[in-house]
Amino acid sequence: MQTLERIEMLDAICKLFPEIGFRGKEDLIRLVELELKSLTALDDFFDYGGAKTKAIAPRQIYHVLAANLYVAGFQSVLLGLLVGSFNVVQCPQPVTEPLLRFISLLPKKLKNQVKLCFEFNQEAFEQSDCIVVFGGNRTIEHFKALTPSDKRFVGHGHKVSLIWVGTIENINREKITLSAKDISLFNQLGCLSPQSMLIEESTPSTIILSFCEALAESLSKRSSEKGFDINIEELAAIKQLRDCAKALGWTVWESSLTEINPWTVIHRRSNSFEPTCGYRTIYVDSVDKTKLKEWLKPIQGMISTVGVFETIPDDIVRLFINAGATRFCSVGEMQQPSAFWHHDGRNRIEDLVRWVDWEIQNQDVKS
Amino acid sequence: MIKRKEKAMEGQRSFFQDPANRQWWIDQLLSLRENPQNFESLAFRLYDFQRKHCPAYKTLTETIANRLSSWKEIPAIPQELFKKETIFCYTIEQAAGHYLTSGTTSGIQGRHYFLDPLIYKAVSLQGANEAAIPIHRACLHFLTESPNENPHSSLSAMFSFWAESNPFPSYFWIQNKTFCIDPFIQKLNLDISAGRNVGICGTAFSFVLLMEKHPKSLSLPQGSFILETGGMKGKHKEIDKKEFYQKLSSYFGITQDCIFSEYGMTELSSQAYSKGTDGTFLVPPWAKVLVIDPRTEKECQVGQKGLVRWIDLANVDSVLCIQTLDIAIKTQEGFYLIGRSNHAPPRGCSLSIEEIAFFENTHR
Repeated sequence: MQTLERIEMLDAICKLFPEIGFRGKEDLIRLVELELKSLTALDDFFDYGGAKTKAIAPRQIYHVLAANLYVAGFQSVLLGLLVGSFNVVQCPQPVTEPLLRFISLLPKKLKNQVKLCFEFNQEAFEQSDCIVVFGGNRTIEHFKALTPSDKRFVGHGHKVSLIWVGTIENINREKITLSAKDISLFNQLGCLSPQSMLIEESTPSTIILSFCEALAESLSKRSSEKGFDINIEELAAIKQLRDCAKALGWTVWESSLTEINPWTVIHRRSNSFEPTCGYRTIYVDSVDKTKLKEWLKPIQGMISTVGVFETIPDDIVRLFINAGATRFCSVGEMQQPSAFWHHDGRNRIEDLVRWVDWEIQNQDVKS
Repeated sequence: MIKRKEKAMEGQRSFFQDPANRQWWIDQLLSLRENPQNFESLAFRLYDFQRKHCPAYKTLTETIANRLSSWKEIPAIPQELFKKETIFCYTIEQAAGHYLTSGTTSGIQGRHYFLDPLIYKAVSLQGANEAAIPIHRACLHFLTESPNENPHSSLSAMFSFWAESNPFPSYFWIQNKTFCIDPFIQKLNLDISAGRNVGICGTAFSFVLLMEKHPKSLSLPQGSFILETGGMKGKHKEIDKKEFYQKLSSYFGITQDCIFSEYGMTELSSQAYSKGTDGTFLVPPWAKVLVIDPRTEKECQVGQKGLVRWIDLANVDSVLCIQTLDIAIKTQEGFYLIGRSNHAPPRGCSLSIEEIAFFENTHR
């Protein structure tokens, strides 16, 4: 099956599941062209730097999905199908239902290219020539250790995102509303969910308090929207974070934990980053700009997206890039990266393939 | 006016520093079996002291209404706070020592400071007696380090108090970080052949390791007991408690009602105990456990699931009321422990504090 044929078949699925981030076949075509330089790179050799080259897709990809966010699973399988691989998907119980639905809606020819397993499948793992793992850093390390060096390994570990607010002069309610959206989506459990909003320490405390109040109000307005079920362990984690903050003397704005989507805003002055427990719990951190590098140290290499509230100075951009950030965007866009974004700073389909170069001038090559 | 207040506060602080008063406090706690009605007044007295002298507790309680109508309303500090802040009513220099939490989940250890270990010693001994654990009628084998090897382990300290008060010989079998299984089995077999009662006390993990490394079962004399504590704490595949007790019972040749479970934590001074597989945990008279609904902060009804909150009157030098993340079902007499908070709640792909610690430990 040629690439374009697969793209045609995936067009409908992109439209059925807009959360994957592709609007349709146009986006898939563009992605292949951008990352593989030619739409037919997977089908034929094409001219490349005075020679020819062709992308070879893995024969079989073994995907290990994380338990909570099914969207990453959809994306991974879709990209595997796009390059034309057979896909074995190790699927944890919480994402089984949405994934089964996703697979059931695939055209038959593509459906045959996907096999689900519900626990580690040694045989399938060994037969695969590419391993894609989503999960915690322990999980990534575990599977990386299992993968022989001749196989391609792509690990997407947990990451953290932040919002750079900088100095506040006026309370920009529109931007605060957009920030609340970024915080609320996916119950703040994704790697694109902001954990902290960074405000320059020089901002007067009365303005910071007004900012936090406005943020609390925006989160409160979203608190009745359709949410996730929060279990007792998760509620306990929220409560613990709130109580620790209070005992440490930080100012806390909070909703009742009986609400469908409880939210918490905590203002603190801290020397270093600390993640929240998710579930719409956000730190507003007053940070000395000259000590930001030190503040970011615990998450060096683990930053995904920096949401920009209004503007961000060049020196701060450099600082975030040096700390490992892979994406900057405006607030309100944090959870919806471009279809062509570099996940964890890498090309998404190019990461899966290997290139074969043909440098013999006097003999043409057919794929 | 301010000076008078400071003086009064200093007087209150010195009350719990005076050894005679500490002994008086111990006596009060140990008499609560006969005088349970005194629990509330003692709890209020301790609360009043700690909220003035423990800085973090003071900050927390300032955010909460002060007027309490019942001991059940005493504000709790999160157990996690021991990792972030000093929870102590005195300066660190005044502490006689401290115990360290395991740091299993995050790699960060909390510290529980104390002025002297006497209150902990008294309640550890009386707590075991209250739970009818025959610690004075058996040779005690502890599958832990001794306090000499691990002076910051509250569990080792408690076992050493038991050993000191026991007329029979006692042994600690983890030496140089190694579980000395062969010498332990040899000594145990000598006790068995002499018909001496034995008590084997250790973490659940140590028992699992023992049964794995030395699969040949034993037959303990009647009157012997097993005491397990602490769960697996991420060190081993978690196994079902029922299955675990069946294994212990057949391995040691004792009935399941000779198996005790201890539920305690470094941040506390008192312990809860249960007996057999479906035993409800009971606390001694100087401690209470509330099973709290985190949504409402109110106590759960019998049969409801909630979070364990301790009120421990033996926690004199830190804070008496501690909110854990442990989950339990409230029963008529006590609580049934469902799970200890060894694991962070399930999350998406956002980074957790545990992972930052893991990354730092493995890569830096």
